[in-house]
Parts: sequence; structure tokens; C-alpha cells
Amino acid sequence: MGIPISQMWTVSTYVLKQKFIKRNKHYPLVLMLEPLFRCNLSCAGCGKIQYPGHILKRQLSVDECVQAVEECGAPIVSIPGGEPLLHPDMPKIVEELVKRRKYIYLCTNAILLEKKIEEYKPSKYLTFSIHMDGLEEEHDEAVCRDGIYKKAIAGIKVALDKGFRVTTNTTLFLGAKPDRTRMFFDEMTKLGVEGMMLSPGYSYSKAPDQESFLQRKETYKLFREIFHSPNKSWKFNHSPLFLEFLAGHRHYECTPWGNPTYNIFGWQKPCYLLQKGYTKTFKELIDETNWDEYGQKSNNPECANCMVHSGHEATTVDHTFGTLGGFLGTVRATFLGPKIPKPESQKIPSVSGGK
Amino acid sequence: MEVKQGYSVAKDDTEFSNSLDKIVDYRGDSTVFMQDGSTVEGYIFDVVAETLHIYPIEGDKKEIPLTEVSKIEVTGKDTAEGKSWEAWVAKKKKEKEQQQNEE
Repeated sequence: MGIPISQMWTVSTYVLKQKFIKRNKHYPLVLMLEPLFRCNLSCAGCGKIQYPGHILKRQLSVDECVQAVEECGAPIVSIPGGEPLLHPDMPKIVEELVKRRKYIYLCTNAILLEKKIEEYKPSKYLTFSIHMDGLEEEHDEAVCRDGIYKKAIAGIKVALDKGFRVTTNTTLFLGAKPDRTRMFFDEMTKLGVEGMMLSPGYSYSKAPDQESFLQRKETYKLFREIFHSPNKSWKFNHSPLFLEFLAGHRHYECTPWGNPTYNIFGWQKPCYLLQKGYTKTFKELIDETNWDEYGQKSNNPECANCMVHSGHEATTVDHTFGTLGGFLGTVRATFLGPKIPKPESQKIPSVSGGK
Repeated sequence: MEVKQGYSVAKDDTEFSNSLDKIVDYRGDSTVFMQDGSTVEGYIFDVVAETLHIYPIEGDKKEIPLTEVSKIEVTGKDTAEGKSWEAWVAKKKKEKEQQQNEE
């Protein structure tokens, strides 16, 4: 896998401590720190930028970011947005988090990366996670502007040349072409990125259950076609169990507390995508949210089709370190590759158990 | 009832509670009319324990007890209108079809 050993060690010791020493049922793994919502792109469907102008002008201060990180305690901090490189104090925020030995994923569209890269120092704690939704045609269409793919490629090359850790993050919507996606993985692998992150695109729907079921089934089909007979050199920045989940080899429930979100409004309930209010403290978020109301098992229609990594990757990590079966499954998938049902398979994993 | 620019609801209206939920989901500014005759215009992002949480257009976050409110009016443009992923896909599909027809 594409994740360095030091990071895996930090995460594994953290999870074991949370589960078996502190006995925390609801513990965070990745803090989604949104320091601002403004962006230099205007991608269709991006709910993060659809706010009045005065909200888009606001941003978290360095102190607010540091306080949220310390309050949460997660070993990994993902900084999405908006576009984080637009924040004038982002280098200082990164510096403060590196000092605290947090593994940072700075999620950027890379438009400003070449211009601003000198403001950052390479570190094992800092990864530029570049938004790439496919090859040039697909990416430029997804971000609603021509030329952005080429900009992002240039940004990736500069960051790699300067010794930074670089990953890509890709959202795949239903209708994505598996062959083109596989070609995209080949391209990113050739560039030398450390790993690729994937998530199925998702917008919650109040559609009837039957429709929801079909959508989830289509997601499985898409990922089975993408991962079937994979290029052995592809590296993903995911637990291999998450890839098995995407392809419908196994089912995982959402652990929304695993990736708590903090932004100018406060701690967002219950997850990165849904907005059911805010709390002032992380403790209130954990203690006051009725977590049983979310995830596929809850029958909440807003969660019916959701398979995004911010809700489910933490579940796979919890499974790996919380059960012998999960641990052995991870070891097996790491060395032998994830189990991916054949594209023509009709298998639907049971909602009630691991597989 | 549909909450859109121009919609208003009085505190003593039976629909107030339902409307308030929709106003919180609305991606635009609202104006809060206070019982003392003053107004606060801004983005309402939450309601907790009978208290509105609002970012006024100028200044820091404010909390306004509902007991001090007389009316809320949706005064800002809906910034999410027509910007869904589905709308984008439909637009692109139409563009491609037009292009193919022209060829």
C-alpha cells in the first residue's frame, strides 16, 4: 500500500490505545479541518462553496485550527475546503500541525501549488493531496474549467521534484468509465504519486429504497470493473478492506465520528457531508449526537447510498485493529491484493456482518 | 411550503418551527426582525435550544434567543440554486447532444 510505515505505526498504536486502553467507542481517526469555504474553482454540485459572499470571505485563524486539532486529538488532519492554498496563513497552520506530529493531507486543486510551494517545507507529516477526478477530459469537465488538469499535473511534478509527499484524491460518479479510470490510475502511477485516494460521488437522496438499492449495486459494479485484474503497480492510500468494501466484497457501516468536521460554524453534526447543526466543542459533538440515526443500518434515507471514504475508511481501520478477522483480512489483502468480485458478479454483501 | 428569496414567517405563525428548519438549510442570507424593532441580516446556520446562530453580514457570530424574534425573512439569493451535480450533468449532456446534431 502507499502509506508509509511510520504513519501506519502511529495510526495503529493510536487505534489500539483508543479501543483497548481508553475503551472509547466513538474516537476520531481523521479530523476534517475546513479553514475556509472559498475556492478558485466552482465545481458543480460542490456544497462547500455554496454560501453567501460574506461567509466565503471568512476563515479560521491559526489559533482556531490548532485548538481544534488539539481538542480532537486525531492523528491525521485532512485540510479540505474551499481551497486551502487561498488561506494566507496556511503555511503557518501546517507548520504548527507538523510541530504537533500530525499527519496532514492538504487537499488542493493545485492551481496555486507551483506559485506557493516555496512557502512549505517537505516533511513526512505533510502530504499534498491533489484533487484529480480522472484524465484530462473527465477532470476538466468535473471541475467545470478547461486547463485545470494540466495545471494539476504541473503542480504534482513540482511537488514531487521538491521532495514532498503527494497523493491524489478522486471522486467517481456513477457513469464513470472503468477503462478511462484504469488509464488514469496508470498515468498517476507513472507520475510517481505515493498513493491514490478514491471515493464514490454521493449526493443524498430521498428516493425510495428500491432506487437506493440499485444505486449501491451500481457502485459495486463500477468498482468491480475498475479493480478487476488491477495493474500491480497501482498504489492506493486506503486500507485494502476499504477497496473490498467499494467493490462489494464486504459491507461496512459508517462511523461518522471517525472523521469529524470542524469549520467556521463549529463542529459539524454528524459528518463531513450532512449538516445537522453544530456544537461548540468536540466533546459535545461526540456526546450529544445520536449516532444511531446515521449509516445504512439506520434506514436514514440520507445515508442509504453513501459509501464515501470519510464515513467508511475509519470503520475498516477499526475492524483491522479491533478484531482478529479484520487484522488477518488486512494482512491477506496487503500481501495478496484485495478480494474483488468479478465484474459480472451479482453478489451483494450482507448489511449485518463484515462480509 | 417552499423557502426562497422573499419568503417570510412570523414568530407566532404555526408554521414557524418548520419554516425555521428550512431557513437553516437555505444557502442564502435572511433578515431577523427583533421585537424591539431592530434587525439583523446574515446567514442563519443553526438553531440550538431555542436560539438562532447567525453570522451577520458584518461582524462575528451571534446568538439570538427566539423569544426576542418577531419575524424572519429570507432576503438573500439562494447560492445553491441550479448548481447541483445533476443539473451540471444534464447541461453537459444537452451540450454534447447539440454538438453531435451540429456535426
